[in-house]
Amino acid sequence: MSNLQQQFLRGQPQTSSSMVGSGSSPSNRVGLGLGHGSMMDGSGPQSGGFNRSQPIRMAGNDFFTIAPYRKRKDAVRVSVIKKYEILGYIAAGTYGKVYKAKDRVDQNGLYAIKKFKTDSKDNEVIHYTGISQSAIREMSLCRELNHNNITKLTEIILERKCIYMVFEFAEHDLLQIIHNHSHPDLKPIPESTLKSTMYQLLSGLSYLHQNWIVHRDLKPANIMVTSDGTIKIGDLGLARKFNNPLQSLYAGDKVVVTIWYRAPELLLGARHYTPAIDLWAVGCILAELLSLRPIFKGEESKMDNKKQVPFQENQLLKIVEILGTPSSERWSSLKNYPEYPQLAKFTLFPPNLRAWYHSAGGSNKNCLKLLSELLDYDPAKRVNALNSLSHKWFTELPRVTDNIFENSKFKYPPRKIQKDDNDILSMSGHSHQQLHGTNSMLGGTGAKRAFGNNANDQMHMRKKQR
Amino acid sequence: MSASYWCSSQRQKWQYTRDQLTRIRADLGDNCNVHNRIFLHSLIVKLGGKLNLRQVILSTAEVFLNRFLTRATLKEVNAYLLVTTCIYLGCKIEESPVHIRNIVNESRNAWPEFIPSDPTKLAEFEFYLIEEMDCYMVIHHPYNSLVQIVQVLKTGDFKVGITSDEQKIAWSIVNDSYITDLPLLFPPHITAIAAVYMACILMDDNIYKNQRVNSFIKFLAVSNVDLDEVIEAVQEMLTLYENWNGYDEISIRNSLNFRILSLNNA
Repeated sequence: MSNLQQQFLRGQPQTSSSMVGSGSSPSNRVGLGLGHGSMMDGSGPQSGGFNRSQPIRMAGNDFFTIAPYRKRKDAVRVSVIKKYEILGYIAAGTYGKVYKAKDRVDQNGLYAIKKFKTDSKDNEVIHYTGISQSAIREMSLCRELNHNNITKLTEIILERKCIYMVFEFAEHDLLQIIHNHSHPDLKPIPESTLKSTMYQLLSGLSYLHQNWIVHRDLKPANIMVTSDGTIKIGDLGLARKFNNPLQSLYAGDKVVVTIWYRAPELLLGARHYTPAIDLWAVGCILAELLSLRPIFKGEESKMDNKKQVPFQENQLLKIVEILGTPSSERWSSLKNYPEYPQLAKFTLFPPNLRAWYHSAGGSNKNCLKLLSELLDYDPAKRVNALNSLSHKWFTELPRVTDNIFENSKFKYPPRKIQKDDNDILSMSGHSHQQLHGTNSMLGGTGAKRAFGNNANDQMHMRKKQR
Repeated sequence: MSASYWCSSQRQKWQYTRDQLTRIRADLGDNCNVHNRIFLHSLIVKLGGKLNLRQVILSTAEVFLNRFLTRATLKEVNAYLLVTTCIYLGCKIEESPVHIRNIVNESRNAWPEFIPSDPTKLAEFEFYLIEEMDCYMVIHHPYNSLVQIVQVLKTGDFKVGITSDEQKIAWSIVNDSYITDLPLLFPPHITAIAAVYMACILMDDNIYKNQRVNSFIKFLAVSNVDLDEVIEAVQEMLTLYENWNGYDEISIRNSLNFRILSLNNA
């Protein structure tokens, strides 16, 4: 019992001055050692303890949490490197790194293992910091999804304070395919590949939307293509459910979608947006597959330090130049958007999408029709994913195929990997990832990224390429 | 699928039969009886109130707690940190994240002798909690079904009007259902129907009772739900309320606290 009493007394506030700054005991005390931690913790709210007959007990940092449980779990955990042979490193982003891996048992099974970035120091993750909202979303949503056009998650391994998401490997992505068709010279993507790509992309998106999930980061780098020509929508790190939101989507994430693919309602500061933002991005992707360059390639205004979301004037200008200046007749809710007054700055442009389409080499009327329906200013009128699947363009010849490469003479190089970096457990990779990234960009060999996430990554890369 | 319960991980990975649950608990050496569980529920309600959280978040946290307790026992973990972790993760899953420091501070305010101020302890537990649930975290609740059922009952076919007081009672019954095994046993709409039934039939002693009972039975027949499951759910709730009568919070708290302190000194 004396032991217990000792515990009761440990960490008890000694003087009233120790109460100052209560509730904000900094975490850097964690490292002070078990013996001291509890003594440092006079930060409790109940200074009234002095008037009580029994002193207030305060748990120290070495107080019992999960030790017996942790011991049991750690003893049986199978390491990611026991199950997978790491072949090399594919790409990096704000989220962490992606590695190519092979199943040690089934040697034909290829995987892309996404390792989420954690705070680290000297090759070792020092402490748990709480899992990011993005990782939680991607883990929880991928666990529920099952569709041929969504990257398939096979398992998640949590090990040594790191998260490893194991996906089926995809040999290509749309960014890389576009690059192959534009370098060294322009070679249009065959119509059957183009159409099948769009159909599968919209099928996957329709599945997401039917499941009340909005992707919020569709762009060529996030659309994978397997070696047998199946489209796989990837990177659900920004995706979220939109049924019964407890707070507006805007409140959770102020900025969504990589700038070139960002819908006009988002640029105008919409607080309550809809899955239609994903269809705008699909429209941008269709245009890019046609012309082999981004259709609305605006310059991003950076966030100022006041953390206010800046108005993306240049991006909206790029849109207006091609689609014409929006009006209340075309877009009834236009005047309700917070940034609407900014539109007054713009000179008036006539609608120009048809001319753009022809100059990009497009000739099929139904394809143009789908493009204009995807790039409708008014999110309420923009075609939805499910309806788009029965669009005329998809029903006429050439027929949509399961393998987007069917009937195509083009061959695409396999995804490049950095074979010298296969130490997935080590943290050191994060420091020289920059080097690899830069090298591959200068090499100009195209997309290296299996999972794009950061807008700047992709834009940066493109600048180097062009 | 996250829109439909029928293809969800909740149904495919985290739904048990009663026999399975009994076996799991026997193997585990279950130590969380219904009074313990009522106490843990009160902890969730308390911390949720301090953080001003929405009910759905707390309900998600309760399901996490139920799932965790099918795989681990209260002899292995600090129960106060466990409920804090469930709420912390529930906030994230329901897209209303709370900063880890805020939740640790509030939790420590509530239970200073059991919650260390170091937030990495909570973050560590979050990691193990997610692992234990095998990363299945999307939860389907009875609340949507509850609203739908009330709407359908109102229509011409059934004409069962449900007063707002009755709806509130049904809502509270759903909230209490998380203390039981219902979230691990049945689809959420079963719990919702059981709650509506209890709120407007069992508690109703006015003269329209027979008419309402008949209409309700008609609804059940048309709706094609598993009646045995509904009956079992009602029984489960009645058993809970009966057990609640014998609940002595102080003695439960003391014994749980004593256990945690002994583990701390072990």
